[in-house]
Amino acid sequence: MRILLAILWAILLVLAAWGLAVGLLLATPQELAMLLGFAGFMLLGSRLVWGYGAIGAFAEAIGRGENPDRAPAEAGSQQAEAEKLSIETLLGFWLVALDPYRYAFMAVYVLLFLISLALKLVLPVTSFWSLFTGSSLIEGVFWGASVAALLVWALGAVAAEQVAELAKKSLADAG
Amino acid sequence: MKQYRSGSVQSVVIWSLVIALLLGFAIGSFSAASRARAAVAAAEALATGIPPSPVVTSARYDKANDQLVLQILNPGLVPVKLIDQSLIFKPGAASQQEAYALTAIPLGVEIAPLSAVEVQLKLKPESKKLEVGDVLAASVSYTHPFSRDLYVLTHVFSVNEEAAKGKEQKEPAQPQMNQPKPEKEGK
Repeated sequence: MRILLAILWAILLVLAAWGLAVGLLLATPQELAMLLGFAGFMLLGSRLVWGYGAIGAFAEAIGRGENPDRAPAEAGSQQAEAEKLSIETLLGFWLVALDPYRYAFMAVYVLLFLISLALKLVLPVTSFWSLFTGSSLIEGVFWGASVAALLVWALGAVAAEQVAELAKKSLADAG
Repeated sequence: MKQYRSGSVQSVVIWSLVIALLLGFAIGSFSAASRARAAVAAAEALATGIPPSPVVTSARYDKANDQLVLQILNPGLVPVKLIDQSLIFKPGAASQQEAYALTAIPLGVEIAPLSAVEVQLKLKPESKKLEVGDVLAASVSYTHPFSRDLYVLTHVFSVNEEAAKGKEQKEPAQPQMNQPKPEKEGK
């Protein structure tokens, strides 16, 4: 199973590299803007992606009955006496500690959304704007950013749900 | 701990997939639209942008009628009007004929977009037949519908053994795009 997954993953990587190479050769400026928007927002949300990924992996390991290293969770939770906290509380604090980054990310994304929307709704005096947007390059950036935002949102939702299920399970065990 | 509201891991994954599908649809449409826009812009530039110059694709010495026959191709998408023609003759070592120039012989031929015409340039009446080593410089002036300027196209025809017998002298191959079959094949 793992070998199969590894092979599938390798095929995906090769396809992605091939597609990127061909795409870069044939891309329109708008598509390049999309790629840049995706890369930029992945960079902006890298802390969230790694953080939610680590929380998800940690919660999954706990759910499987393993005993993962608590050090990254204690560092991530940013609490004074983190070593005394239970696993679920620790994960909860860790999740909440990522919220400022999530708000910053989503604020920039919503700002971008509003800008691209406003440029679509602007009166026919677009000639001045189109000097800067060059037939809606900003829209390309927006669509690229949307992919990154979807990834961040889905990872965050999955991590939060895993933590919630862990907490429910331990509540049921205690009760 | 802050309350995070969501359904379950499965529902999060399924909703993510649904949103990803919609997002992919939107991105694909955007990409296709940007490509279509680029294609339309390119076609517009081709149709209205640069005035494409007529090209001499081949030349032939018509010994019987004592004239130079040029195949002129208009590779552009707008008609081009040929106004008049000039001819400069420079004799080679073998020729008995003196050098001469004929200027501003009216032509008045319009080349439709993406098509070719044959243009005959009469040599000087009662001049000797062309010999190997002679050189003819044929100039055709033309106008473009988007400009009031007069453009000149000059073709240099060097007479070698084959050309002296009246064989078609082809220019180096043009790119195949936009090249139609000539309306009249050289006889």
